[in-house]
Amino acid sequence: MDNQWTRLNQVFRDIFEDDELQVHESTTAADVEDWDSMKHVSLMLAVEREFQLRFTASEIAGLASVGELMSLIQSKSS
Amino acid sequence: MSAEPSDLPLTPAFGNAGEWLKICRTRLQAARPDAAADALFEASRDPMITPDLLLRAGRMHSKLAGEFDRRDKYDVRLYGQCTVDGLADALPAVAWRDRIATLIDVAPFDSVLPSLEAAVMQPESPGVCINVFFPWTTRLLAQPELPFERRIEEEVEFWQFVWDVSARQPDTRIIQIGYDTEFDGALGHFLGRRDGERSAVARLNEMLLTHLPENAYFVDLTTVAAQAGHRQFYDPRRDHLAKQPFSDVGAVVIAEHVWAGIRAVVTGPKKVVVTDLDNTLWGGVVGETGASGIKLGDDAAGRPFLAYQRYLKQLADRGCVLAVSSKNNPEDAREPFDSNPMMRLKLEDFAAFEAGWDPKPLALERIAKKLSLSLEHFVFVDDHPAERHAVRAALPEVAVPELPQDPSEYVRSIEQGLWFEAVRITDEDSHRSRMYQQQNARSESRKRFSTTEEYLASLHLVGSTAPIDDMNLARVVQMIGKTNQFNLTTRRHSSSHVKRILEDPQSIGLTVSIQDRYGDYGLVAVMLGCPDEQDATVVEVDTWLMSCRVIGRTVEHFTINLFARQAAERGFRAIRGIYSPTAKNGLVKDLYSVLGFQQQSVSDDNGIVFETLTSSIAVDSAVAKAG
Repeated sequence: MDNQWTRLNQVFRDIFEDDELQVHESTTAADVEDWDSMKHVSLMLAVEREFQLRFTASEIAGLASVGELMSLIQSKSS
Repeated sequence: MSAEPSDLPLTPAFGNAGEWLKICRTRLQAARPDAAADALFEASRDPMITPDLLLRAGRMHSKLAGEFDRRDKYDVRLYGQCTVDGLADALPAVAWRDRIATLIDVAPFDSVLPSLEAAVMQPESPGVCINVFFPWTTRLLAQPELPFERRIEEEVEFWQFVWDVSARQPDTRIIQIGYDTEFDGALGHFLGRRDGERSAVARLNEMLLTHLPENAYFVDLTTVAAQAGHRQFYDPRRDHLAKQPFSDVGAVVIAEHVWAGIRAVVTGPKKVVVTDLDNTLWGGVVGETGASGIKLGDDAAGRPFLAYQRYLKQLADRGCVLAVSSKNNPEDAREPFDSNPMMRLKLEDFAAFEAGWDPKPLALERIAKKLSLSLEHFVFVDDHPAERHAVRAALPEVAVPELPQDPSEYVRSIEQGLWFEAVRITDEDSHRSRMYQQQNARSESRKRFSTTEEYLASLHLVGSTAPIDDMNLARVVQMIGKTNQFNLTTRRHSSSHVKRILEDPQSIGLTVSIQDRYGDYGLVAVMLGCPDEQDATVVEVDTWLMSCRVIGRTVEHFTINLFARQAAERGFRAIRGIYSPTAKNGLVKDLYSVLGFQQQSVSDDNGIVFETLTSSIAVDSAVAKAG
């Protein structure tokens, strides 16, 4: 569980080039500088690579928070 | 690679790109931009780098680019009819493999002409400037009622107009990307037939090439995508999410071809190939086996070398100069050319022949002197890593492709460097181009647009308006949440907040939908106005936003006219607008001034407040009202 958050957080740090970045359940795109729609796609592709799963276009477009993203990852990897 | 390497390795490290990117980031944080740029160079030229890492390298380069002197940078502007952000990310990393810094500017989605017209008004920057035009088949395939012939003509007319506008900055070079289709479509391979979509794309590319301005470089997207493999080159999911049809893989491949094109239009193709002999031009070591013992027969051991010789011969026929640099006794080195009947290349095919025991950089310098050509035009091909290493170290301006261990892949890996891309090739080509120019002159008599107004008029833009209601509320709130560029206040209202604003009968909530002759854009603009709390004769524009798909089509004029009419009907004397700057909405910073509003003050949250009389709003728009 914690391990998944660590892995997810590292994906965020890599994509946003920020080693201080710490994401939480309630983090949204508004909280992270540079998190625009193109970055969002790159981010989701990187999450797919890290967790070895695949999202649909509408799942990628419909996410509202990092918490939702984690739930989606867990529902897909269980 | 845990410790930070102090010196650059001279041969690219395989598979360490991720580590190099981390090192780059650490060095950046330590405010060592030069060292960070070196790490980025290592990451970018790693032959095993994955596409996502290369895109990251490009983004890091764009951050670093501020550190370089602007005169040394290439200014590259990308104009796409699809989203091209992936290309914008990949290109700086690809260019940095040649140690060229690029400054990338991306025009908003599908606003080629208006963005270009705005750009040519700006003074040209002092360095090298390149416009990259990236078409997409949206319009070509959107109007089945028109025959393909007509549609192809329209597309070509559009790009001809774009090239004319681009030519207003005479020192700006053009890279024109061709058309391709992502899908085979309902008819499958039948689409390759004369009336099918693939055939239409092929004919359109042919026409574009025919009319292409002199010295512009054409990237044949159909071939490029096929070489990389359609299924990994295109990504339908990315297309639906962000209107970027190509994947990260596609972005990298396109970037490599665009960069080869930029090299071709700026410095021209490489002019000299200096090749090694033993295990490069033939198999084995001639000094040990003698001229008849080298591997050059019609068998698996010999064919790769025959193929490499044929490739060099083709380059020579195209005007490339060949030279030899070999560590051999001079007599041994020459013997196979005289006595081995399998040799495809003869001594007279080489303009310089350096065989001896001097270090290769010295030999290359002698060749350059003999040919009176500078070393930046040289490609050096050698199977031996230590020799490549030595040349890279002593002569960084020479291109040194990494050769694979297996000679069967020599030609492919040299080709992948795209060193010999040319804008023009032979006399016959230039003859053909003269023919094309005459054809061009004939087609001039056909209708061409001389102004943007004429172009917009040809689109037959039609707009309709509707109040914000339950039917469109979800779409409106979605746009409020997402629109960044054309958004004056960037207030992210919830649907309940929008409803609350509209409960006041004096407030204004309007939407605009747009169609043109190419198709239906749907709901593209939203305005929300509330009466001022102190002065009930003033309506304040709470929200004004528009989809970037219709930027540059005067839809904003159409919209403000509608808003002003409704304001007048409700008895408002004046309209107040606010521009709240964000990192992304610089596009609209002058909008209110252009529309004739007067700047009043700066609000507490840094918004710039404008006002004008309701009756004074009447702006020309190319958009006709529906019905």
